[in-house]
Amino acid sequence: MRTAIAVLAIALSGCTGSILGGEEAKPVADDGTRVDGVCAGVAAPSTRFIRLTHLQYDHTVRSLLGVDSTPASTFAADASFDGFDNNADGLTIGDRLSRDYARAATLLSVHTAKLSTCTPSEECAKSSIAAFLRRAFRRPVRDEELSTYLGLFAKGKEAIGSGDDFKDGMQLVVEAALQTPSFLYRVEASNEVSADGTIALDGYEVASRLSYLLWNDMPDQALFDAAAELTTVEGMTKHARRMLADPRSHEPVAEFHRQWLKLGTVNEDKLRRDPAMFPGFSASIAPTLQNESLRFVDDVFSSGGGLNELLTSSFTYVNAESAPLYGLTGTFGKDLTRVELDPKKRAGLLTQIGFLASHAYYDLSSPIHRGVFIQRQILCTELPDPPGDANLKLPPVTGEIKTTRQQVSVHTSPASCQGCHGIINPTGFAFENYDAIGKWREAENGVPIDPTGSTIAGDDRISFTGPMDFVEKLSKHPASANCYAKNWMRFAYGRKEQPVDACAMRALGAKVAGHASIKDVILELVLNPTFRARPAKEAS
Amino acid sequence: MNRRSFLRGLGGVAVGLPMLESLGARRGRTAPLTYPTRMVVFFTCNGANLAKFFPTTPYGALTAESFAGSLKPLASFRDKLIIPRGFHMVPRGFNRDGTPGDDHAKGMGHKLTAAPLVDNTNKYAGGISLDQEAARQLNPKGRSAMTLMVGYAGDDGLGVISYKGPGAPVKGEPNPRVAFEDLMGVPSGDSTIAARLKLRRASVLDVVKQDFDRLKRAPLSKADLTKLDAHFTLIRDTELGLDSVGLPACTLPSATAGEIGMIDPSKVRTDGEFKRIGRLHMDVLTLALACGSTRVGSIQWGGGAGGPVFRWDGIDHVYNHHKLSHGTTMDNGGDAVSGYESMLTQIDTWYADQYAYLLTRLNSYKEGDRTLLDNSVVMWGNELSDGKDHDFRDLPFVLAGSAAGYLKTGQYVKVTKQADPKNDVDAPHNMLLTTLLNAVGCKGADGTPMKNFGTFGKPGEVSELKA
Repeated sequence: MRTAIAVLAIALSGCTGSILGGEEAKPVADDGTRVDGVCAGVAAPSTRFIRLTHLQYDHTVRSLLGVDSTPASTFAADASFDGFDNNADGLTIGDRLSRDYARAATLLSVHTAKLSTCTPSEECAKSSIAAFLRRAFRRPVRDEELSTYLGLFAKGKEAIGSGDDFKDGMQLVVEAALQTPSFLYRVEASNEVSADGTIALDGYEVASRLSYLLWNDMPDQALFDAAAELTTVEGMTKHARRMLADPRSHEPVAEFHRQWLKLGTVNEDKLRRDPAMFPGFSASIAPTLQNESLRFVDDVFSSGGGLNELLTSSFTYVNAESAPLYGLTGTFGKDLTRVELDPKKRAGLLTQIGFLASHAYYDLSSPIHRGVFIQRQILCTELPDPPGDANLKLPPVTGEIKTTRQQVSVHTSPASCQGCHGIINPTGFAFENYDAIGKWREAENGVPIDPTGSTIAGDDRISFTGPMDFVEKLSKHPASANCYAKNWMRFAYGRKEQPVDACAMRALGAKVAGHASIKDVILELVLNPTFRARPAKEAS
Repeated sequence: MNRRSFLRGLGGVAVGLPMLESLGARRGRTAPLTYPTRMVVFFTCNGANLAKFFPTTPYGALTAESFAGSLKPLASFRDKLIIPRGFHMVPRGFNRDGTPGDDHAKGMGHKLTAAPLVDNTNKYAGGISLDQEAARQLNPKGRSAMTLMVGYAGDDGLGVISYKGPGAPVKGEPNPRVAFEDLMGVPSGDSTIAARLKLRRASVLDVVKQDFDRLKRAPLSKADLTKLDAHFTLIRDTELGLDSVGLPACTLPSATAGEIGMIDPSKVRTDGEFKRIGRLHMDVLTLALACGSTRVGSIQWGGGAGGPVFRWDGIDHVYNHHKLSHGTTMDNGGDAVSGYESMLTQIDTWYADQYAYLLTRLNSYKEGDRTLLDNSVVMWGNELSDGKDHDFRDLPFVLAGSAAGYLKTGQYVKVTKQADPKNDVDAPHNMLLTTLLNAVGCKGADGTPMKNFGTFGKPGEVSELKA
């Protein structure tokens, strides 16, 4: 709440052209703009202890121990903050998760086989433990830490007593390490204030930021070895490019889009339809539709596309079950295959069946749900929830009311509704050519579809003649570009944007509007100096 | 009579006495053995069909005729029940107190805390909950309440009822096997194994603690220090609980143990497992209370604005509990579902049957002249009253057990002086929470009975409930 007020205050008072605050001249304005107009990349306040997400935990133990298991799948799930489950504010450890971690550590600790290659001896224990801890903590190990763990190793025989003393010792070491803050959090302990008033993170801390953003995994050996290079733009560029070319970079990109587009709502519950009206349509198609959108996003990412392609490309992925919904007649199997769709009827994510059908009623399309989603997620419009006592039942189709558009218009006509619905409804009306299961239609109840209209986008209006015209204009609008940038910033930095991020967010929005690829957006985010630094002043 | 035979439940479970004594059972040289009081919260969501829920018999003694509606499965327990009428939730719903959260979130967060939500984003409650307060006072230091979850619930405040403090949710454990191992350790009669396990955990925790100590020596922000301390406290609690490792002879009947061993962890939150997980949870919780692993527990069935699609025990619904509570095909609108009221009554009756199962299990353990149920109070509460209206007034509560004679059971009792039990004037539900805490022996900071629990409502107990 406090943050929201602070951001608002900046929005109202910032951008006045003045960079002078109080009596003293500041080199950088509160929104992060430098005297010369360039973004300073000032670090925003954040926690020093960013807990691994559950996905990151699973990948890390897999890399660390060489076992293929997903213990975190049964952990207490995290709540999303500001749209993303990797927000550090939400990554806390409660009563149950603490026990989940302890339990997982015990179960995982038996996997010590790949942690040492030498013949068991005191010297071997020392080198194996040192190598393991360096990777587990993602930083060099201190001498006193090493002797602590050697002490623990020595207790293995008495505490476990399997007969294999070396293995027992290593098992205790793993069990303990996996429960420490040094493992469970990405610890950013650097504390030396540099000339520009920020704290530069050391190479290992930057390596972790990079690796957990680009791979959802711990740094690999090459990145550890190159830690010293990561304090410069050149070093960062080189390694970020290498990592973005690695297959592991696809998962975080999918995760971002899954959460931003709320693809989890493409589920059976949201897809139940009146079987009399939609014979043959089954809610069990949900995973296919969700995977379609993810494959589509992955294709755009791989082929160097960006927001423009996400919103306007007319290809998609279908299988035998979903192809008929697009009016495709060819032969398809169980697996998703890429197809070109009619560019007069389909363009990008917002015209895919998954989005359209999950934002619809049992028997009707829902312009309201579609409109709210686009305004909130694509344009970052702040819309309040409807009042608790709002009547949610649309008037029946009777007399003058013949279409869904008319039902919605009549239902939300009172002046008290129009503040929000004047924005929401027309946005959704643009998609009235798609029925409750996302199929194309030209008419409803014998009345031709009216997909025209005009609605708010950022500071101005978009007027449109139909869905293709709408998504085309939406994809070119600065408000969508800025919104995509804002969401990426939240995801990449694991926190809500701060006033001081405003300059960098505008700059990133401009790149997105200039057709930056998803890869370029990510590069821009990691090359921002804020990615390598902490503010000297701590978060309160 | 052999002391062990006192502690023999219907399941034929022998229970180790040392733990029970450590939890409060006392016997002087000549005085008879006394047993600790316990508290259980049984929590269901999305309101009830109130038209069929409350007795239609007059206020006063519960009779066989009092159980003509949804509560029919509870008829045989009528002497051990209290059905109070007229409590309203505080902070109040319908935004009457101007506190954050929608009605479902308020119902989930307020019900055991009587405190407003921290904010509207993640809908966590702003105070400690009834069960955690009782566990904090009654359990040995570091021993948690047993907090169980049946089925799926959201990850925010809509999925949580239990809180260690403001904004600190305790999410229910969905897997009965994990719950069993967490609270009762690895059962073992072999003292060598137990000693090894203890050494192992102590050695590991010692090393983990050193990492905390080292990190805390650096200059940290207040927020970061709080974060590390909160985490560290949980680790330290585990250490304090070490004495119990492998000790209690808390063993489940072999059939139940076998069933628990077969649980697929990836399926525990699905609708298909709802009924089975619920029953196993009740078995584990009963055992934990009987053998003294904890004195407090809770079972939450489903989440606010959610709940399963009921398709078992002769029920065959198409829509989930929340949709039916509104009588519609969608969570927010959609078409009317005809006959939804009787479907809600089916659900309420099914829950009453589960509640009856829990009471039967608790009642099967003899404790002196009483049973485990008599020494407990088991509160069945719901997030809402009428689900369709998201109402917070005239809440459906059922209490079972007298907490060793503190409560006056066997009665249907009006707790408000208003003619209409829906008037939200003089019976805030925090008074019920205060009464229950005192019933199980909790105390205020000054060592006298608690005067007020929660931050909303009124101080004092509900005298009508007391013996």
